[in-house]
Amino acid sequence: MRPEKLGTSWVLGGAALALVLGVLGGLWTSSGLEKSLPASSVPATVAYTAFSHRKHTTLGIACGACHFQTYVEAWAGLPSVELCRLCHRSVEAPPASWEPATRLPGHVFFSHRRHTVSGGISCERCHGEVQAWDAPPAEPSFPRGMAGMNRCVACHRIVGASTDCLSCHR
Amino acid sequence: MWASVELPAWARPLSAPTAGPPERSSAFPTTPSGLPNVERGRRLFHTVGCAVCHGIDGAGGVRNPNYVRDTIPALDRLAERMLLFEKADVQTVIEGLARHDLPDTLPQSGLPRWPVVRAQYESLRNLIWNGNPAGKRDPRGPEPIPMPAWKDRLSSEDVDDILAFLLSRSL
Repeated sequence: MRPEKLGTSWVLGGAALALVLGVLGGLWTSSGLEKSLPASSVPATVAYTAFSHRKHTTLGIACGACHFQTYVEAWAGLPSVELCRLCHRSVEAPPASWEPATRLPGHVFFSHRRHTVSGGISCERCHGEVQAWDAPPAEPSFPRGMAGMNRCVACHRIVGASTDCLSCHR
Repeated sequence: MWASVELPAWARPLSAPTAGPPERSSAFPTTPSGLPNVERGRRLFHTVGCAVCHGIDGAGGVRNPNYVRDTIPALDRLAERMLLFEKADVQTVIEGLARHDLPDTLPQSGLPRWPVVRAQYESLRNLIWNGNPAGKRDPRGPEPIPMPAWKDRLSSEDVDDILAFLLSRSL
């Protein structure tokens, strides 16, 4: 083959290859094939305020693994964003205005630790089927006001715990 | 029901509320050891996030989709993994971890197979420090949850205390 013929072949070959790659690339993106690439089994980006208990409990994660404060503190607290980042690469933190659904009134003394550690009471006894929730609660997972207090008193009577007002109220 | 169970109620899968007396559970089923490093390790294990994947007290049971072993490894038999089959040997290693000089003092410890114990200790530290990718069961499937690197989150002493706590599960 003469040198000038070889040059022409290279140009034509390169153009054909570019055309083929372009068509394949277009097919790849338009057909959604790129979406079938292996992804992480956990979403890379999540929002703290869109937390699904169900998705986590079905993996077998125990309540106390994230809500460990309930076993060492009076207050329950909420898991930190850093805890979420152990598995999720990016976690959208809650806005400054965001508040947990449950706030204990100032005149009520309640210790989670006393109930979970000393009392040995399981989470669902008070909080129900939290593991089935797909979104954070809009309402407290334990009823407010008299309805809540009646549940406390009923349980205290069953186990013989004190029902004296000052046991729980300041 | 005041049942005697292997795991406390809060560590087990949830069930529907019952009308009877509350089910008995306890926060940490292992008996407090009285050893400061073990207790510090216990608290670290449950507060920094180890328990989220490895289970309460390292008992395991958390699924890892598309991981070769299906569930994230349990850590409550760490002593066996370090070839420590006698309680006295476990105690010796826990004491070395409390002093944070285990690799240096193992040769004089009288432990059988101490080179293997030291190699296993260094392997575990390296794994915790640098993390580890999780092997995929289906190569075309999603990435399983990897072991994250802890070198920016835990100190060397923290790692020793956590290992001491996990070893104490065999005492």
